Amino acid sequence: MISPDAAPGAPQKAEDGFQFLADFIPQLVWITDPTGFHTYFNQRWIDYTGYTLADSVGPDMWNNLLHPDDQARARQVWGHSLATGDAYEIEYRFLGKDGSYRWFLGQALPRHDEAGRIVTWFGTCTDIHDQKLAGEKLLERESEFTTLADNVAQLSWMARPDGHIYWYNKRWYDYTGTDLAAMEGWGWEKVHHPDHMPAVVDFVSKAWKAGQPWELTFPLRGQDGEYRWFLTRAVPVRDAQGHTLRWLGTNTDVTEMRHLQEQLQNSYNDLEAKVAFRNLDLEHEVQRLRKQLAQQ
Amino acid sequence: MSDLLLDINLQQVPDTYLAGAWRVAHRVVNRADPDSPLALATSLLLDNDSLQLQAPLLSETGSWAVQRDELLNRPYLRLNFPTEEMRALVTRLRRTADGARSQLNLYFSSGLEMQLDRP
Repeated sequence: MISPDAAPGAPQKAEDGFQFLADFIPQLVWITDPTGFHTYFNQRWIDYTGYTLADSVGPDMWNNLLHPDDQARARQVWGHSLATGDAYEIEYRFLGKDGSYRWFLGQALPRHDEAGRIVTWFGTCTDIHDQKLAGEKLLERESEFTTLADNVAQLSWMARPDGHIYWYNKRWYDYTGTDLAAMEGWGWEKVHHPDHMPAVVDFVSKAWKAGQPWELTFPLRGQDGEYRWFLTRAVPVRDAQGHTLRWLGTNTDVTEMRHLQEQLQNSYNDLEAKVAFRNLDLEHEVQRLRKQLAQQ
Repeated sequence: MSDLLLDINLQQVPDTYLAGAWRVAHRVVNRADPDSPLALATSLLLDNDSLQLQAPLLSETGSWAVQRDELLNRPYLRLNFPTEEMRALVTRLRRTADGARSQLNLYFSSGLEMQLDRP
């Protein structure tokens, strides 16, 4: 602002200062009258769009430089600010003179006179193209990760270094019939078998502290109330200094495998018993002879 | 009451669990004589000491007893018929918690294997 008591020449100095500042800052800068009619663009605007100040002045030109998909939304948001005096903020794509679009964060605030009427709007457009693309890439990777995590055959989870679990995949919730609110932290104890829980809690308490990959098999209760056996594997994710950042864990359903192992063991025991049974008389005879020999 | 059949520990099975009217549910003849009364049996009644075998065209009576041997970790049955004596190892016994239903697997020295259900 220029002070009315400023010395002669001060307005020009202030004008020069504003011009310098407006061209110096990395944003595109613009000013409109209360109706939204552009009265000023800085040099960066001209450099980016390729439009001279004279070309750039007007109520609609700026909108025509927007990506077609952003034009209606920008007109609506800007129209709302002009009508209400609310601060203006929007993300949109502007066409550069090289023919490509870049993402900008458009922001504007009104300046009022002593009567409270809007005199001008001061606005900036900040180039957020790289952040926007990085954010989109991140969202894409997150979406891919979620799809993968939700579709692997295992129940999966992530925990803080101290074992506080903060994420489970969809299969965990589908199997246990729970949600994150019930499971976060040490909520997993609710789906453990009471007979096995003390040993499990004792084991994992030591495992979190040891910070080494671990494995443990225990039963987990499904939402149907039945328990199934799961092989749990946890691996620490470390930073460059070797500090544990988080734990990645999976629970693999090994119930069928355990049944098969059990059946195999039973069959083996049965076979042994059958062989012993078939040779029972012979075995008794052998023992009797051994005894006789020992007595001689 | 649950209808689930539970495995009984054969090292501690009471003799009374083996008595009763058993129906032959399944058999594997193996090398045994396929025409023997046992291979054709449809039911076995193990009642106190008496034994009754039912087959489509014959019926035999005899006696039976539960035997245990230190060389085996499970009991076996000694079945006495008028013409022969047989031994059958108990390979599995399953029953419901209330004992209303049971399933008994026997392995005979002849190689014959039998699954008996009760009732």
